[in-house]
Amino acid sequence: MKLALEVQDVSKVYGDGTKALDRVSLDVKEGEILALLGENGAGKTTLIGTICGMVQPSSGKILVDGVDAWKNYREARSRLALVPQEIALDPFSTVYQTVRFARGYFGKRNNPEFFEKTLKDLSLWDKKDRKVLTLSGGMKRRMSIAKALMNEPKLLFLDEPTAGVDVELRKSMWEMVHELRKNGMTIVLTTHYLEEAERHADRIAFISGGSIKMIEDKDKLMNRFEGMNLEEIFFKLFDESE
Amino acid sequence: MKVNEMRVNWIGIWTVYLKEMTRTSRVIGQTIISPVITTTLYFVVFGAAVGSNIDELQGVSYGAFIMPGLIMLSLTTNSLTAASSGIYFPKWTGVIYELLTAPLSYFEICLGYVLAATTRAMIVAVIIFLVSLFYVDLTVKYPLFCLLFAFITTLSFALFGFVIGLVANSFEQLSLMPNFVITPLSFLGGIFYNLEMLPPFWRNVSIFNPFVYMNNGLRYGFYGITDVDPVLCVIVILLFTSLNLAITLWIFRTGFRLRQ
Repeated sequence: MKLALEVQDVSKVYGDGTKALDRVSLDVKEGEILALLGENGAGKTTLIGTICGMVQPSSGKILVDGVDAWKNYREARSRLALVPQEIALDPFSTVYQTVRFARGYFGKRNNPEFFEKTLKDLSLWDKKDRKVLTLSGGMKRRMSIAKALMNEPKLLFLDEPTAGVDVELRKSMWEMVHELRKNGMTIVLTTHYLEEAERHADRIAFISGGSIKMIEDKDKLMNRFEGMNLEEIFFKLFDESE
Repeated sequence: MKVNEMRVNWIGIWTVYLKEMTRTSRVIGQTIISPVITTTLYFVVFGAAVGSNIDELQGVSYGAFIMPGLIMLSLTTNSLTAASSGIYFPKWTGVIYELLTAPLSYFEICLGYVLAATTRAMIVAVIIFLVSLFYVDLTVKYPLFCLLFAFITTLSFALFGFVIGLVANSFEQLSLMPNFVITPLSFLGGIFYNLEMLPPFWRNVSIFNPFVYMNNGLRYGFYGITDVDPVLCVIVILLFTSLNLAITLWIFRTGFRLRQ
């Protein structure tokens, strides 16, 4: 199986000496959904940041589709996209401008048909001339996803995609995630809703204290801890790692 | 270095530029009309009203004399403000992640912001110049020199503004430099007077004010008159530009305040 992402011995030590990542190694197979689970401050967002270009790793190597994410960042970043945990949108741009600019940053040409299709898929087309400022929370969350999709990425990172989202929207977002995967996209996500990870992920990785404690095929994991749900497994593993 | 590492993301640079120009047009009252009105008021009050009672300075009317300095004040403050707020706002909202996760180099990000800030300041300056023609008769002696000198100065202050925007941690810090350094130095840089009108002590102090060279450089381009050697004016602005460029490149090398 081809690897979409290889994280090799990546560490991150901040200027004040805080060790956010400690020799993290992780492979993500092409076309899979990997759920990265861990308590607050475990290092999930930092790890995603080192892959996507927001956090410079102190050591280690990251390969995106076989391309070095830092030495050959243009090539690597043209293959990935991030939906960040915090909704970050320019409040004064319109919906249409937002996706247009997002695509442009990736060095990709204007594609009105693609904009229309993506915005329609995310039920935002009828809001295309509205300023982002006027959108509801759910629409803003979908807007973040629309921006990420503008790169037509092979590898998509969803950092807490369903945080603060109502049940209806969560359902539609998961449907969309599966649709994207069906079209060949590899997805790495973090979530605090463990039942969602249990239902939707192919593999589960537990991160704690900046290092990966376990990474395993979800079905094998559930079989290994027969009779327990993912939340119970999470707390058992978390307690063991303490 | 691989070939694709050397490739320039032209569409990305253009998008940063376009986004900034869209922001400028969205708040046109604040970005274009307001500075034009403010500078025109200076011009009307000091040039037309007060200036009508003042003799010619270095062979030109007082209104014509102060015009290049007012344009320079507008160019420097507007380019600095545009670039600093341009990069600070996405930092503040968190939207900066769009640029950091895109295949854009620091230099390309900077270029987009700086060129947009320069364009915005030049648009304001051209409008001020056109408005001033209602009040003074003038012929520009060295138009190409004027354009180049104004462009390089504006570019330099846009770079300076970009650095301020990177370093600033609050909107208050963002306004410190234009309010407490740029405007006072600019006013003391001979917009409304020539150096010979100053007492000897202050004349000597003025030599260390870079705005003296900027204002005089542009005035030389307009009328061929200046208090200081025009070559020195060009050297000072080139040195100032080089300094800003060096600071910007150093900041990029360290990833300072953009990447963690």
